[in-house]
Amino acid sequence: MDDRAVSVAITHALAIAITTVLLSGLFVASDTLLESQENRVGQDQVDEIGGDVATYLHSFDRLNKTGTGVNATAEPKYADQIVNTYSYQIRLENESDTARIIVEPNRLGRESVYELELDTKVEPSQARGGTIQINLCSPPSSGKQTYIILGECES
Amino acid sequence: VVTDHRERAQLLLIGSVVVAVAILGTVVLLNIIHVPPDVSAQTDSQSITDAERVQDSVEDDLQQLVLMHTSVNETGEPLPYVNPDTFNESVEVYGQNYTELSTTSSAAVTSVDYVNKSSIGSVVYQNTTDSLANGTVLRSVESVPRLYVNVSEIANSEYANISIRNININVSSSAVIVDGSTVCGNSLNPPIEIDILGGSGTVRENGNTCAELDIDPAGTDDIGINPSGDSASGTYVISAIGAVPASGAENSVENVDVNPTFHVVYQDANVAYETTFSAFGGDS
Repeated sequence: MDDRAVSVAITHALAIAITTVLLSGLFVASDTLLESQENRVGQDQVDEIGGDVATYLHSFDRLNKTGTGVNATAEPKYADQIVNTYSYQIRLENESDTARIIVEPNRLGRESVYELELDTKVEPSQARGGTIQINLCSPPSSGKQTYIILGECES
Repeated sequence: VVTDHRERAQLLLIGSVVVAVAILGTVVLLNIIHVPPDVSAQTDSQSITDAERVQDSVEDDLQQLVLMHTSVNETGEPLPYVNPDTFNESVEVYGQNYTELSTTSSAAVTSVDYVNKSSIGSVVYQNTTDSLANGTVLRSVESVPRLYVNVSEIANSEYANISIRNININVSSSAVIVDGSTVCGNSLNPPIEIDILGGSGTVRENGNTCAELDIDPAGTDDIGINPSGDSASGTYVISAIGAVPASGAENSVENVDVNPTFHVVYQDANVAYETTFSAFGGDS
Protein backbone atom coordinates (compact mmCIF):
# COMPACT_ATOMS: atom_id res chain seq x y z
CA MET A 1 0.00 0.00 0.00
CA ASP A 2 2.88 2.40 0.90
CA ASP A 3 4.53 1.76 -2.48
CA ARG A 4 1.22 2.51 -4.26
CA ALA A 5 0.87 5.87 -2.47
CA VAL A 6 4.33 6.89 -3.68
CA SER A 7 3.43 5.72 -7.18
CA VAL A 8 0.39 8.05 -7.26
CA ALA A 9 2.54 11.04 -6.32
CA ILE A 10 5.08 10.19 -9.01
CA THR A 11 2.27 9.85 -11.55
CA HIS A 12 0.97 13.32 -10.65
CA ALA A 13 4.41 14.83 -10.81
CA LEU A 14 5.07 13.27 -14.19
CA ALA A 15 1.69 14.48 -15.51
CA ILE A 16 2.43 18.03 -14.37
CA ALA A 17 5.95 17.90 -15.80
CA ILE A 18 4.75 16.62 -19.18
CA THR A 19 1.99 19.23 -19.31
CA THR A 20 4.50 21.97 -18.50
CA VAL A 21 6.90 20.80 -21.21
CA LEU A 22 4.10 20.61 -23.77
CA LEU A 23 2.78 24.06 -22.88
CA SER A 24 6.29 25.54 -23.03
CA GLY A 25 6.75 24.00 -26.45
CA LEU A 26 3.45 25.44 -27.56
CA PHE A 27 4.39 28.93 -26.41
CA VAL A 28 7.86 28.80 -27.96
CA ALA A 29 6.44 27.53 -31.26
CA SER A 30 3.73 30.21 -31.20
CA ASP A 31 6.33 32.89 -30.60
CA THR A 32 8.41 31.73 -33.58
CA LEU A 33 5.32 31.41 -35.75
CA LEU A 34 4.12 34.87 -34.75
CA GLU A 35 7.49 36.42 -35.47
CA SER A 36 7.75 34.89 -38.93
CA GLN A 37 4.13 35.81 -39.67
CA GLU A 38 4.78 39.37 -38.52
CA ASN A 39 7.80 39.65 -40.83
CA ARG A 40 5.91 38.23 -43.77
CA VAL A 41 2.83 40.39 -43.26
CA GLY A 42 5.01 43.43 -42.60
CA GLN A 43 6.92 42.86 -45.83
CA ASP A 44 3.65 42.45 -47.74
CA GLN A 45 2.41 45.76 -46.37
CA VAL A 46 5.67 47.53 -47.22
CA ASP A 47 5.55 46.11 -50.77
CA GLU A 48 1.93 47.11 -51.19
CA ILE A 49 2.55 50.68 -50.03
CA GLY A 50 5.53 50.97 -52.39
CA GLY A 51 3.46 49.58 -55.28
CA ASP A 52 0.64 51.99 -54.57
CA VAL A 53 2.98 55.00 -54.50
CA ALA A 54 4.43 53.74 -57.81
CA THR A 55 0.89 53.73 -59.26
CA TYR A 56 0.48 57.38 -58.29
CA LEU A 57 3.80 58.34 -59.83
CA HIS A 58 2.88 56.61 -63.10
CA SER A 59 -0.53 58.30 -63.11
CA PHE A 60 1.00 61.72 -62.46
CA ASP A 61 3.54 61.09 -65.22
CA ARG A 62 0.69 60.38 -67.65
CA LEU A 63 -1.34 63.36 -66.41
CA ASN A 64 1.66 65.63 -66.95
CA LYS A 65 1.43 64.90 -70.68
CA THR A 66 -2.17 66.11 -70.89
CA GLY A 67 -1.28 69.79 -71.22
CA THR A 68 0.72 72.63 -69.80
CA GLY A 69 0.65 73.93 -66.24
CA VAL A 70 -0.56 70.58 -64.93
CA ASN A 71 -0.95 70.38 -61.16
CA ALA A 72 -2.25 67.38 -59.24
CA THR A 73 -2.47 66.43 -55.59
CA ALA A 74 -3.29 63.10 -54.01
CA GLU A 75 -3.41 62.19 -50.33
CA PRO A 76 -3.35 58.42 -49.98
CA LYS A 77 -4.01 57.17 -46.48
CA TYR A 78 -1.73 54.32 -45.49
CA ALA A 79 -1.32 52.60 -42.13
CA ASP A 80 0.50 54.77 -39.59
CA GLN A 81 2.67 51.81 -38.67
CA ILE A 82 3.57 48.57 -40.34
CA VAL A 83 1.75 45.67 -38.56
CA ASN A 84 0.64 48.27 -36.03
CA THR A 85 4.12 48.27 -34.56
CA TYR A 86 6.87 49.63 -36.79
CA SER A 87 7.03 53.20 -38.06
CA TYR A 88 8.31 53.69 -41.61
CA GLN A 89 9.39 56.26 -44.14
CA ILE A 90 8.69 56.66 -47.85
CA ARG A 91 11.47 58.25 -49.90
CA LEU A 92 11.66 59.43 -53.48
CA GLU A 93 15.05 59.49 -55.14
CA ASN A 94 16.19 60.41 -58.62
CA GLU A 95 19.14 58.61 -60.13
CA SER A 96 20.11 59.25 -63.76
CA ASP A 97 16.59 59.41 -65.22
CA THR A 98 15.36 56.60 -62.97
CA ALA A 99 12.99 57.42 -60.15
CA ARG A 100 13.24 55.24 -57.05
CA ILE A 101 10.60 54.73 -54.40
CA ILE A 102 11.95 53.36 -51.15
CA VAL A 103 9.65 52.25 -48.33
CA GLU A 104 11.83 51.78 -45.28
CA PRO A 105 10.39 50.35 -42.07
CA ASN A 106 12.30 50.81 -38.85
CA ARG A 107 13.51 47.56 -37.24
CA LEU A 108 11.71 45.25 -39.65
CA GLY A 109 13.50 43.23 -42.29
CA ARG A 110 14.42 44.67 -45.65
CA GLU A 111 13.21 47.84 -47.33
CA SER A 112 11.09 47.80 -50.46
CA VAL A 113 12.52 49.52 -53.56
CA TYR A 114 10.68 50.31 -56.80
CA GLU A 115 12.48 51.73 -59.82
CA LEU A 116 10.47 53.62 -62.43
CA GLU A 117 11.26 55.13 -65.82
CA LEU A 118 9.33 58.40 -65.86
CA ASP A 119 9.36 61.35 -68.23
CA THR A 120 8.50 63.70 -65.38
CA LYS A 121 11.27 64.80 -63.06
CA VAL A 122 11.13 63.40 -59.53
CA GLU A 123 12.26 65.69 -56.73
CA PRO A 124 14.13 63.85 -53.94
CA SER A 125 11.85 63.97 -50.91
CA GLN A 126 10.51 61.86 -48.08
CA ALA A 127 7.48 61.45 -45.87
CA ARG A 128 6.65 59.56 -42.69
CA GLY A 129 4.19 56.72 -43.01
CA GLY A 130 0.49 57.42 -42.58
CA THR A 131 -1.41 59.95 -44.65
CA ILE A 132 1.05 61.32 -47.18
CA GLN A 133 0.75 63.96 -49.87
CA ILE A 134 2.00 63.38 -53.41
CA ASN A 135 2.11 66.42 -55.67
CA LEU A 136 2.65 67.06 -59.35
CA CYS A 137 3.89 70.64 -59.43
CA SER A 138 4.15 73.00 -62.39
CA PRO A 139 6.24 76.01 -61.40
CA PRO A 140 4.48 79.23 -62.43
CA SER A 141 7.60 80.70 -64.02
CA SER A 142 8.26 79.37 -67.50
CA GLY A 143 11.45 77.45 -68.09
CA LYS A 144 11.19 75.39 -64.90
CA GLN A 145 10.38 71.73 -65.20
CA THR A 146 7.26 70.10 -63.82
CA TYR A 147 8.15 67.70 -61.04
CA ILE A 148 6.69 65.11 -58.67
CA ILE A 149 7.36 65.47 -54.97
CA LEU A 150 6.32 63.89 -51.67
CA GLY A 151 4.89 66.76 -49.66
CA GLU A 152 4.13 70.35 -50.63
CA CYS A 153 5.25 71.94 -53.90
CA GLU A 154 8.23 74.22 -53.54
CA SER A 155 7.18 77.86 -53.58
CA VAL B 1 -9.69 4.23 -2.34
CA VAL B 2 -12.58 6.55 -2.97
CA THR B 3 -10.45 9.51 -1.77
CA ASP B 4 -7.60 8.58 -4.13
CA HIS B 5 -9.95 8.42 -7.09
CA ARG B 6 -11.49 11.77 -6.21
CA GLU B 7 -8.04 13.44 -5.94
CA ARG B 8 -6.96 11.98 -9.28
CA ALA B 9 -10.16 13.13 -10.94
CA GLN B 10 -9.70 16.64 -9.55
CA LEU B 11 -6.12 16.69 -10.80
CA LEU B 12 -7.16 15.53 -14.25
CA LEU B 13 -9.93 18.12 -14.33
CA ILE B 14 -7.59 20.94 -13.30
CA GLY B 15 -4.96 19.76 -15.80
CA SER B 16 -7.53 19.66 -18.60
CA VAL B 17 -8.79 23.14 -17.73
CA VAL B 18 -5.20 24.49 -17.74
CA VAL B 19 -4.46 22.93 -21.15
CA ALA B 20 -7.76 24.17 -22.58
CA VAL B 21 -7.19 27.71 -21.27
CA ALA B 22 -3.65 27.70 -22.67
CA ILE B 23 -4.78 26.60 -26.14
CA LEU B 24 -7.74 28.97 -26.22
CA GLY B 25 -5.49 31.79 -24.98
CA THR B 26 -3.05 31.12 -27.80
CA VAL B 27 -5.84 31.21 -30.35
CA VAL B 28 -7.21 34.47 -28.96
CA LEU B 29 -3.70 35.95 -28.86
CA LEU B 30 -3.09 34.97 -32.50
CA ASN B 31 -6.32 36.58 -33.53
CA ILE B 32 -5.51 39.79 -31.70
CA ILE B 33 -2.02 40.02 -33.18
CA HIS B 34 -3.09 39.07 -36.70
CA VAL B 35 -2.84 42.00 -39.13
CA PRO B 36 -4.05 41.73 -42.71
CA PRO B 37 -1.34 42.45 -45.29
CA ASP B 38 -3.61 44.74 -47.32
CA VAL B 39 -3.37 48.46 -46.84
CA SER B 40 -6.40 50.59 -47.58
CA ALA B 41 -5.34 52.41 -50.72
CA GLN B 42 -8.05 51.22 -53.07
CA THR B 43 -10.28 54.30 -52.93
CA ASP B 44 -7.46 56.74 -53.62
CA SER B 45 -6.18 54.74 -56.58
CA GLN B 46 -9.68 54.78 -58.00
CA SER B 47 -9.75 58.58 -57.65
CA ILE B 48 -6.61 59.11 -59.71
CA THR B 49 -7.92 56.70 -62.34
CA ASP B 50 -11.16 58.69 -62.46
CA ALA B 51 -9.17 61.91 -62.91
CA GLU B 52 -7.40 60.41 -65.94
CA ARG B 53 -10.67 59.15 -67.38
CA VAL B 54 -12.34 62.54 -66.96
CA GLN B 55 -9.39 64.29 -68.62
CA ASP B 56 -9.53 61.95 -71.65
CA SER B 57 -13.27 62.31 -71.93
CA VAL B 58 -13.27 66.13 -71.63
CA GLU B 59 -10.41 66.48 -74.12
CA ASP B 60 -12.22 64.34 -76.72
CA ASP B 61 -15.47 66.25 -76.18
CA LEU B 62 -13.84 69.65 -76.53
CA GLN B 63 -12.00 68.66 -79.69
CA GLN B 64 -15.33 67.59 -81.18
CA LEU B 65 -16.86 70.85 -80.00
CA VAL B 66 -14.10 72.82 -81.75
CA LEU B 67 -14.53 70.90 -84.99
CA MET B 68 -18.30 71.04 -85.08
CA HIS B 69 -19.31 74.31 -83.45
CA THR B 70 -18.22 77.38 -85.38
CA SER B 71 -15.41 76.06 -87.51
CA VAL B 72 -17.41 74.93 -90.52
CA ASN B 73 -16.89 76.29 -94.00
CA GLU B 74 -19.50 76.95 -96.68
CA THR B 75 -19.53 73.32 -97.80
CA GLY B 76 -20.02 72.00 -94.29
CA GLU B 77 -16.45 70.86 -93.72
CA PRO B 78 -14.80 71.66 -90.41
CA LEU B 79 -12.07 74.29 -90.33
CA PRO B 80 -9.51 74.58 -87.54
CA TYR B 81 -10.74 77.71 -85.80
CA VAL B 82 -13.49 79.01 -83.52
CA ASN B 83 -15.13 82.37 -83.05
CA PRO B 84 -14.11 83.31 -79.47
CA ASP B 85 -17.34 85.17 -78.62
CA THR B 86 -19.81 82.43 -79.47
CA PHE B 87 -17.53 79.53 -78.59
CA ASN B 88 -17.16 80.75 -75.01
CA GLU B 89 -20.89 80.25 -74.45
CA SER B 90 -20.76 76.74 -75.88
CA VAL B 91 -17.94 75.75 -73.55
CA GLU B 92 -19.84 77.17 -70.57
CA VAL B 93 -22.91 75.12 -71.46
CA TYR B 94 -20.77 72.03 -72.00
CA GLY B 95 -19.00 72.55 -68.65
CA GLN B 96 -22.29 72.88 -66.78
CA ASN B 97 -23.78 69.81 -68.44
CA TYR B 98 -20.65 67.75 -67.77
CA THR B 99 -20.60 68.75 -64.11
CA GLU B 100 -24.29 67.94 -63.68
CA LEU B 101 -23.85 64.55 -65.31
CA SER B 102 -20.68 63.62 -63.45
CA THR B 103 -21.97 64.63 -60.01
CA THR B 104 -24.92 62.28 -60.34
CA SER B 105 -22.61 59.26 -60.49
CA SER B 106 -19.67 60.35 -58.33
CA ALA B 107 -18.64 62.81 -55.65
CA ALA B 108 -16.26 64.65 -57.94
CA VAL B 109 -16.49 68.13 -59.41
CA THR B 110 -15.13 68.97 -62.86
CA SER B 111 -14.86 72.52 -64.12
CA VAL B 112 -14.09 73.36 -67.75
CA ASP B 113 -13.15 76.87 -68.87
CA TYR B 114 -12.26 78.30 -72.24
CA VAL B 115 -9.13 80.46 -72.06
CA ASN B 116 -10.57 83.19 -74.22
CA LYS B 117 -8.60 84.81 -77.05
CA SER B 118 -5.39 83.03 -76.14
CA SER B 119 -4.35 82.25 -79.71
CA ILE B 120 -5.86 84.67 -82.19
CA GLY B 121 -4.79 84.30 -85.79
CA SER B 122 -5.98 83.49 -89.30
CA VAL B 123 -7.00 80.52 -91.39
CA VAL B 124 -6.46 80.17 -95.13
CA TYR B 125 -7.95 77.33 -97.11
CA GLN B 126 -8.87 75.86 -100.46
CA ASN B 127 -11.41 73.13 -99.94
CA THR B 128 -12.05 72.07 -103.54
CA THR B 129 -9.34 70.48 -105.67
CA ASP B 130 -7.96 73.16 -107.93
CA SER B 131 -4.68 74.76 -108.92
CA LEU B 132 -2.67 75.35 -105.77
CA ALA B 133 -2.16 78.86 -104.45
CA ASN B 134 0.60 80.92 -105.96
CA GLY B 135 2.71 82.84 -103.53
CA THR B 136 2.58 83.69 -99.88
CA VAL B 137 -0.66 82.65 -98.18
CA LEU B 138 0.05 83.81 -94.61
CA ARG B 139 2.32 86.52 -93.23
CA SER B 140 3.79 87.11 -89.76
CA VAL B 141 3.20 83.55 -88.62
CA GLU B 142 4.09 82.95 -84.97
CA SER B 143 3.14 79.30 -84.75
CA VAL B 144 1.22 76.75 -86.82
CA PRO B 145 -1.41 74.78 -84.89
CA ARG B 146 -2.80 73.11 -88.01
CA LEU B 147 -1.55 72.73 -91.57
CA TYR B 148 -2.78 70.31 -94.18
CA VAL B 149 -1.69 70.48 -97.82
CA ASN B 150 -2.82 67.79 -100.24
CA VAL B 151 -1.08 67.76 -103.62
CA SER B 152 -3.35 65.43 -105.55
CA GLU B 153 -1.84 65.91 -109.01
CA ILE B 154 1.36 67.30 -110.49
CA ALA B 155 2.62 67.13 -114.08
CA ASN B 156 6.02 65.81 -115.10
CA SER B 157 8.86 68.33 -114.86
CA GLU B 158 6.79 70.62 -112.66
CA TYR B 159 7.04 71.13 -108.94
CA ALA B 160 5.49 73.00 -106.04
CA ASN B 161 7.56 74.67 -103.35
CA ILE B 162 5.89 74.83 -99.98
CA SER B 163 7.71 76.91 -97.39
CA ILE B 164 6.54 76.60 -93.80
CA ARG B 165 8.64 78.89 -91.67
CA ASN B 166 11.98 77.12 -91.28
CA ILE B 167 11.09 74.17 -93.54
CA ASN B 168 11.09 74.06 -97.33
CA ILE B 169 9.25 71.22 -99.02
CA ASN B 170 9.63 70.64 -102.75
CA VAL B 171 7.02 68.35 -104.30
CA SER B 172 7.61 67.21 -107.89
CA SER B 173 6.34 64.29 -109.94
CA SER B 174 9.44 62.26 -109.03
CA ALA B 175 10.32 63.14 -105.44
CA VAL B 176 9.56 65.05 -102.28
CA ILE B 177 12.56 66.98 -101.03
CA VAL B 178 12.56 68.42 -97.52
CA ASP B 179 15.29 71.01 -96.89
CA GLY B 180 17.45 69.56 -99.67
CA SER B 181 17.05 65.89 -98.70
CA THR B 182 14.94 63.52 -100.77
CA VAL B 183 12.44 61.84 -98.46
CA CYS B 184 9.98 60.13 -100.82
CA GLY B 185 11.07 57.72 -103.59
CA ASN B 186 11.81 58.18 -107.29
CA SER B 187 8.38 57.48 -108.67
CA LEU B 188 5.74 59.28 -106.68
CA ASN B 189 2.23 58.03 -106.28
CA PRO B 190 -0.05 60.97 -105.31
CA PRO B 191 -1.61 62.22 -103.18
CA ILE B 192 1.28 63.86 -101.36
CA GLU B 193 0.06 65.09 -97.99
CA ILE B 194 1.79 67.47 -95.60
CA ASP B 195 0.04 67.12 -92.27
CA ILE B 196 1.07 69.24 -89.27
CA LEU B 197 -0.63 69.38 -85.88
CA GLY B 198 0.63 71.52 -83.02
CA GLY B 199 3.96 72.35 -84.66
CA SER B 200 5.04 68.90 -85.76
CA GLY B 201 3.82 66.45 -88.37
CA THR B 202 4.59 64.28 -91.36
CA VAL B 203 4.92 64.14 -95.14
CA ARG B 204 2.95 61.23 -96.64
CA GLU B 205 2.94 59.69 -100.08
CA ASN B 206 -0.27 57.80 -100.83
CA GLY B 207 -0.80 57.26 -97.11
CA ASN B 208 2.78 56.18 -96.33
CA THR B 209 4.88 58.43 -94.10
CA CYS B 210 8.07 59.70 -95.78
CA ALA B 211 9.36 62.28 -93.34
CA GLU B 212 8.77 63.83 -89.92
CA LEU B 213 8.52 67.61 -89.71
CA ASP B 214 9.17 69.88 -86.77
CA ILE B 215 8.31 73.55 -87.12
CA ASP B 216 10.64 75.99 -85.39
CA PRO B 217 8.58 77.57 -82.58
CA ALA B 218 10.65 80.77 -82.33
CA GLY B 219 10.32 83.97 -84.36
CA THR B 220 7.84 84.97 -87.03
CA ASP B 221 7.81 84.10 -90.73
CA ASP B 222 5.61 83.56 -93.77
CA ILE B 223 4.00 80.47 -95.26
CA GLY B 224 3.97 80.16 -99.03
CA ILE B 225 2.88 77.71 -101.72
CA ASN B 226 4.70 78.31 -105.00
CA PRO B 227 3.98 75.98 -107.92
CA SER B 228 6.27 76.17 -110.96
CA GLY B 229 3.33 75.89 -113.37
CA ASP B 230 -0.43 75.44 -113.47
CA SER B 231 -0.62 71.69 -113.22
CA ALA B 232 -0.06 71.29 -109.47
CA SER B 233 -3.50 70.92 -107.97
CA GLY B 234 -4.91 69.98 -104.60
CA THR B 235 -6.39 71.39 -101.42
CA TYR B 236 -5.03 73.02 -98.28
CA VAL B 237 -6.02 74.42 -94.93
CA ILE B 238 -3.56 76.31 -92.78
CA SER B 239 -4.13 78.03 -89.45
CA ALA B 240 -1.52 80.25 -87.84
CA ILE B 241 -1.34 82.30 -84.66
CA GLY B 242 -0.66 86.01 -85.00
CA ALA B 243 -0.78 85.72 -88.80
CA VAL B 244 -2.61 87.71 -91.43
CA PRO B 245 -3.76 86.25 -94.77
CA ALA B 246 -1.75 87.18 -97.87
CA SER B 247 -2.85 87.64 -101.46
CA GLY B 248 -1.92 84.09 -102.48
CA ALA B 249 -4.68 82.57 -100.34
CA GLU B 250 -7.88 81.36 -101.98
CA ASN B 251 -10.13 81.79 -98.91
CA SER B 252 -9.35 83.22 -95.53
CA VAL B 253 -10.76 83.96 -92.08
CA GLU B 254 -9.15 86.54 -89.81
CA ASN B 255 -9.15 87.35 -86.10
CA VAL B 256 -10.34 83.97 -84.92
CA ASP B 257 -9.02 81.60 -82.29
CA VAL B 258 -6.99 79.04 -84.24
CA ASN B 259 -5.93 76.93 -81.26
CA PRO B 260 -8.56 77.16 -78.51
CA THR B 261 -7.11 76.58 -75.06
CA PHE B 262 -8.98 75.06 -72.13
CA HIS B 263 -8.46 74.94 -68.40
CA VAL B 264 -9.82 71.80 -66.71
CA VAL B 265 -10.04 71.29 -62.95
CA TYR B 266 -11.05 67.98 -61.37
CA GLN B 267 -11.50 67.54 -57.65
CA ASP B 268 -12.80 64.82 -55.38
CA ALA B 269 -12.20 63.87 -51.76
CA ASN B 270 -8.76 62.41 -52.44
CA VAL B 271 -7.39 63.90 -55.63
CA ALA B 272 -7.15 67.41 -57.06
CA TYR B 273 -5.95 67.92 -60.62
CA GLU B 274 -5.79 70.81 -63.07
CA THR B 275 -4.43 71.16 -66.57
CA THR B 276 -4.37 73.56 -69.49
CA PHE B 277 -4.37 72.17 -73.00
CA SER B 278 -4.98 73.35 -76.56
CA ALA B 279 -7.25 71.73 -79.09
CA PHE B 280 -4.48 71.27 -81.67
CA GLY B 281 -1.69 70.65 -79.18
CA GLY B 282 1.54 72.57 -78.80
CA ASP B 283 1.95 75.79 -76.87
CA SER B 284 -0.83 78.18 -77.60
